[in-house]
Amino acid sequence: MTLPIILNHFDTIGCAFPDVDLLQPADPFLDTTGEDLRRRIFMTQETSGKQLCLRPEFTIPVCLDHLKEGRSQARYAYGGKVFRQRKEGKTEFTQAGFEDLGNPDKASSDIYCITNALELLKKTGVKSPRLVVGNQAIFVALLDALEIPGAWRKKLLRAFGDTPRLYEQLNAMTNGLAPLDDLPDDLSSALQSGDPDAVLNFVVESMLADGLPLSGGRTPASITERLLQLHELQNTRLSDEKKQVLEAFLLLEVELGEAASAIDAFEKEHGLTLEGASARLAHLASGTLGDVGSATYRASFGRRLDYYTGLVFEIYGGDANKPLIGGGRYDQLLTLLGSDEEIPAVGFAVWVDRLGDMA
Amino acid sequence: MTLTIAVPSKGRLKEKAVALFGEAGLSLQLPEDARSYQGSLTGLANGSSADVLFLSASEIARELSNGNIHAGITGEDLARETIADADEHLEFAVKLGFGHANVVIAVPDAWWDVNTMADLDDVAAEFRARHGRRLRIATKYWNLTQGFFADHGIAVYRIVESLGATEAAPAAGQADGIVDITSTGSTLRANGLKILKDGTILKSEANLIISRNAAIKSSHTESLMEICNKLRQVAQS
Repeated sequence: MTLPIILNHFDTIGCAFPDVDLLQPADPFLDTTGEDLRRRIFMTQETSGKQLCLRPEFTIPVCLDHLKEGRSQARYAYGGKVFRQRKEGKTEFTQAGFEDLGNPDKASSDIYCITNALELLKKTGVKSPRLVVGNQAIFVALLDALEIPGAWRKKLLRAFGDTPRLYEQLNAMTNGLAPLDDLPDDLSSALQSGDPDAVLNFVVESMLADGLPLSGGRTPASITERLLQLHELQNTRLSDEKKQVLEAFLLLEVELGEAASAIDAFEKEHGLTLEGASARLAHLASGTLGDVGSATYRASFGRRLDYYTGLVFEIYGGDANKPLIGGGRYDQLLTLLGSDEEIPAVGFAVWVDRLGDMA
Repeated sequence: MTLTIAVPSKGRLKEKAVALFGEAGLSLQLPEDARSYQGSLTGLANGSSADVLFLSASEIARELSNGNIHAGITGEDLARETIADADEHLEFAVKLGFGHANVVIAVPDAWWDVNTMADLDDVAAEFRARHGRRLRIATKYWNLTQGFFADHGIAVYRIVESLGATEAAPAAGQADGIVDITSTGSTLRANGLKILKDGTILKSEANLIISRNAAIKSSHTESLMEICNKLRQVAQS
């Protein structure tokens, strides 16, 4: 049996095992992952109307427990059934995992997370695992180096991890974004004259005319800010040159051991500096290249969830094309769940049933 | 099982459906007893008749999907909302030319910076950070909304269920935008809302829908073909 081996491993390295109920309040999952998740989880409700769901994963409940107990730094582990709606295949499967919360030394905890995952696979008998890593922070460094305007940067970051969508965005930016049209004359001229107060007044008046509340939702200030931003980008195009640099970056895929020098070469070729990227990859490579069959850095690899901010990784066994382990750094998640300050977080989940198939 | 066709049990959809059968030269016998929900359809070339059930418009979609009835008349919006992967279970055979309604996404007029789904994506992404909660969309069309938003890559928003007067939700502070049906857009305009340029989820009208899940005999097929052809002719004239 694989699960006991995994749980025993987590116990050995001193993880805490929080209690995670099978039935969970649905809101934290829907709020963090989004409404789209509703179609992929099993929902039910209390007679009071409170919406519950069958545990679709453990990370969010573990993070909530961490916040509730007010701990500053801790390592957690879990293992058990999770439930997801799928078109085909089983809807309940076994998941185990590890979360390292509140550790300020991010580089070391990233490495510990990966080596811990590899050690666990070794104990379950997986030979020559293949590691694939990515890091959104390196993409951010490239956007900084290229001085991409803030509004575009956000669009690109949101699409990072979904390469076709990212290319769509890049194409839209080289063609110029859709113009701000159908604006009333007064608003247009307020924007032309670059008078934020006039724009704000216009927005306030039109919200009042529509009977909209001025607070609690989008405020006149946030509408005004975005109007000014769009107006400024109106005649801006992403240059072909910058687009080509971004596309060349997204195609980078090298052995992790070579990744730092590949980034050096990329910087040299394009005359750019990606702040901290090369050192970060060199450090990661030095810490994780022990018992792996192969390790790859793929520049375009990311997760399309807004709370993943840095390292992401997957580990495969044999020739299988589905990962045995998926993990990464999600420094924004605890803030989304209500923490006032950012809490560094990194972890991984093990697809235990897939491990069973390997053994 | 006799060929069974469902027709909406009340309202304009029922009136129009009954009238259309008449125009098509088919004779629809309404239930003799006002409490009964069963009638029949005669006037078919092969002399056979069909049972007609009067059901609520959304129930028709479900019964079609379950294979309990062979065909039915209902709005495409209701069918696609009620049945996930509707095309796998239902064949939208004849557009009947009435019951037109578009399912659209509308936001406040005063959102001058938002005209497209791409704009809404920007706004949704930053909503939490700026306003302390996710963007809220009021609707009764959960499935259509989720599918359309997913197609546009928008995940971070919440649906607020609305069972009536959806267009009033933004002014009441219950939601930021809505997904609702509209035929002329005048109710939306009167409530200070505008439809996003690429925000039409579905252009719906009443359809004769054939179940892909009901047991069908060859005599059924013949009659269904005849009904489809006759309805198509009058619907398009």
